[in-house]
Amino acid sequence: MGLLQVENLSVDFQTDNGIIPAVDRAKISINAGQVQGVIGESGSGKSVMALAIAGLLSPAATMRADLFNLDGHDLTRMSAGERQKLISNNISIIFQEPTSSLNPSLTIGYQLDETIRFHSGGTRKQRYDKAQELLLQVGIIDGKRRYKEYPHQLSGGLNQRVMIAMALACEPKLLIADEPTTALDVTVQSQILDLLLKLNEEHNMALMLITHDFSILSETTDKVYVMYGGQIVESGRTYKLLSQPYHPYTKALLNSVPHYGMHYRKGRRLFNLKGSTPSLDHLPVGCYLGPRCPYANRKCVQTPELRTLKGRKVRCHFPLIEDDS
Amino acid sequence: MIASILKQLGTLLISLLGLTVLTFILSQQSDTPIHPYQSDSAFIQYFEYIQFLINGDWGISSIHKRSVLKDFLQHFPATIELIVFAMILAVTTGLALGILASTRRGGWLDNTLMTTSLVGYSMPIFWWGMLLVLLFSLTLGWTPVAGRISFEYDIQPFTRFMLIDTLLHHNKYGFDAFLNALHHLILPAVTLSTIPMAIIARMTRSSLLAVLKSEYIRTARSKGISKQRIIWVHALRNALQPILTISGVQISIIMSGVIITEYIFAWPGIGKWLLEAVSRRDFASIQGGVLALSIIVIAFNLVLDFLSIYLNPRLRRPS
Ligand SMILES: Nc1ncnc2c1ncn2[C@@H]1O[C@H](COP(=O)(O)OP(=O)(O)OP(=O)(O)O)[C@@H](O)[C@H]1O
Ligand code: SF4
Ligand SMILES: [Mg+2]
Repeated sequence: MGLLQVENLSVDFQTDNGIIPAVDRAKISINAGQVQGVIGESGSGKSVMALAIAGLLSPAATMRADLFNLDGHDLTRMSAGERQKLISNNISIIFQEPTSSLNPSLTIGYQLDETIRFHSGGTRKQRYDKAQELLLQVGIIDGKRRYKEYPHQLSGGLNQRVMIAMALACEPKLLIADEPTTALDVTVQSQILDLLLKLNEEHNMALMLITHDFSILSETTDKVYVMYGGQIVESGRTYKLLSQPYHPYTKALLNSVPHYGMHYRKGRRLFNLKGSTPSLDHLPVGCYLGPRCPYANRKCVQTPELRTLKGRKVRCHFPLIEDDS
Repeated sequence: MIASILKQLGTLLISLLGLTVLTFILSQQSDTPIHPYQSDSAFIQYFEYIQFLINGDWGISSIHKRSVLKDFLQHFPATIELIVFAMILAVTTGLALGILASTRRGGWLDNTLMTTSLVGYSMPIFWWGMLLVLLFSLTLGWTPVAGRISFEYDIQPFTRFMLIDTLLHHNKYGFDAFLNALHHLILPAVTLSTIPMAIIARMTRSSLLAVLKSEYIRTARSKGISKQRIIWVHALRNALQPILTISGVQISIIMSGVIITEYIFAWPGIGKWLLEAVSRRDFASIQGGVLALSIIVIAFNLVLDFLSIYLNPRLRRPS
C-alpha cells in the first residue's frame, strides 16, 4: 500500500535576485517499508525536497503540490497545524550534521525525553526506560552515561545515533535520512547505514536515503530518484537504473564513479559532463542539462516532460535505450 | 571550567590594577594631600595607597570633612535601589519586546518595535528625563517630580533602601509609605532603563532570529514541539550569550546615566554626591566615588561572565 504519494511538488524561494525554483514538479511514491534513494549533485534540490516532505521549509519558501497523500490522508486539504501534526507523527528526518542538529545547551537525555513525552507520554520512569531502550537499539551501550551528556561531548557518529534514536521515538512510518553519513568517518559511515537498514527491517519503517554516492544506493535501495537542477530526471528500480541508465545525466553520474563495477567495461571511455551545475537563478532554456549534454540536439530547447518508459520515468527527448544493449 | 574561572580572575586582577593606578593618579591631583604617605617615591606611595584602601581609609572629603567611604556608603543604597530597579525593568521588558519582535519578524509589530527602540537608544538621557517629567509629572500629574518619598512620611534610614525601610515602617503607615516610595521610583527608573532596554530588545531579537535558523531548531520542529516551547526551551537558552554580554556593557551606560538621572530627579544618591564633589574640586570624594562605581561595574561583569560560563555547557563541561 502507498505510504506517501506526492505529485508535482514544487518549492520556490523568494530571494532578492528573484524566485528560485529549488524543486520543480517532483513525483514521489513510497510504500510501507520500502527503501528508496535520492541522488544528485550538490545544489540539485535534494535537501529542499526532503524538507518540503517533512514540512520543515523556512518561511522564505513557498510549496505547492497537486497531490500529497500520507498514510491515507490528503494533506492538501488540511490546515497547517493538522498537517504538521500528521507529518511529525509519521515522518522523521535526520540530517547531514548530527552535532549541529542537536541542541548544544540541552543534554542528550533531555532532548530524547522531550521527544518521547511529546509522542507517547508516560511517567518519568517509563520515559527513562524507553529512552534507554532506544539508545540500546541504536547501538549505544553506555546509555546511562550518555543520557547525562551534552552533544559536544559525543562524537559525530554517536550524535547521529542519538538523532536516529530520537527519530525512532516518534515511531515514524518513514525515515528521511539526508546524507546521514557524509560528515562521518568512513568506518562509522557503514555502521550507521547498517543500523538504518536494520531498523528498516525490524520496524517496517520506510527509508528515504539521500546521498550523492551511488555505491551506497546500489546495495541498499529498491528504487532511485535522480535529481538535476531541482527536477527528477530519472527514476526507477535501482538495479535496472544502475545497470542501464536511460537519462544522459544518470549515465554521466554513474561514469563519474570509477570503482562502480557493475557494468563497467574496459576500454569504454569514461565521459564526464563538461561545465558545471547550472545555478538555479540562471537555468538554461528547455532541458536543463542541454548545455552540458553530449546527446543534445535542436529539439532539446523544448522542455522535456517526465514520461514513462519500460516501467521507468525519464525526463529526456532522447533516452539512451538503444545505446547500451 | 577551572581554566575559564582562572582566566576570569586574571582579567579581574588586571582591571583592578588599572583602576587603582588611575584613582591613585587622580588622588595625587588634590590640593591638600588625601593620604599621609611615608615615602617620597610615587611607586612606593602606590602600595601605601592600596594599603589605605584595604584598611577602609579612602580619605577625608574636603568639603564635608567626613570619611569618603562613609559618605559613599550613605549615598550608595539610594543609587543601588534605582539601578537595580532600572536594570530589572530594562532586562525584562527588553527581553519580552525582543522575543515578541522576533516571533513576528517583518510584521508591523516587529517594525514598530524596532523603529521605536532605535529612537529609544539614540535619545539623550538628559532630554528624555526632562520630557518624561514634563509629561507625566507636570502635565498629567501622575508621578512625583522629585525625591524618594513624600514629606509626610517620617522614615528612619535602617537599611537606606527606601523600599525596604518603608516596609519596616509597616505598623506606622501600612503599605502607603511603600507604595509612595515605589511611585517616586518609577519615573527615574524608566528614564534610566530606556537606553539599555532598547539595546537589549534589539540584541534579543537579532540573537533569537539567528538561533531560530539553526539546525537544532529544525530538529525540534520536526519532532512536533510547540512554537512556545521552541522559543523558551530550545532557542532562548542559546540566544542568551550575546544578550548577557550586551547587558554587561549596559551597566556602565547605566552608571553614567544614573548621575544625570539623579540630578534631574533630585535623587539623593551617588550621582548627586559625585556631581557636587566635582563642582567643588573635592578630589578625595571623586577618587573614592570613581573607585567604588568602577568596582561595582567590574563585579557585575564578573557575575555575568560566571553566569554565561554556567549557562554554556561547552565551557562548563569541556569534552
Ligand atoms: N533558504 C534558502 N533560500 C534560498 N535558496 C535556497 C534556500 N535553501 C536552498 N536554496 C536553494 O536551493 C537549492 C537546492 O539546495 P539543496 O540544499 O536542496 O541542495 P542539495 O541537493 O541538498 O545539495 P547538497 O548535496 O549540497 O546537500 C540550492 O542551490 C539553493 O540555492
Ligand atoms: S533532453 Fe536533450 S539535452 Fe536533455 S538530457 Fe535529453 S538529450 Fe540531453
Ligand atoms: Mg543537502
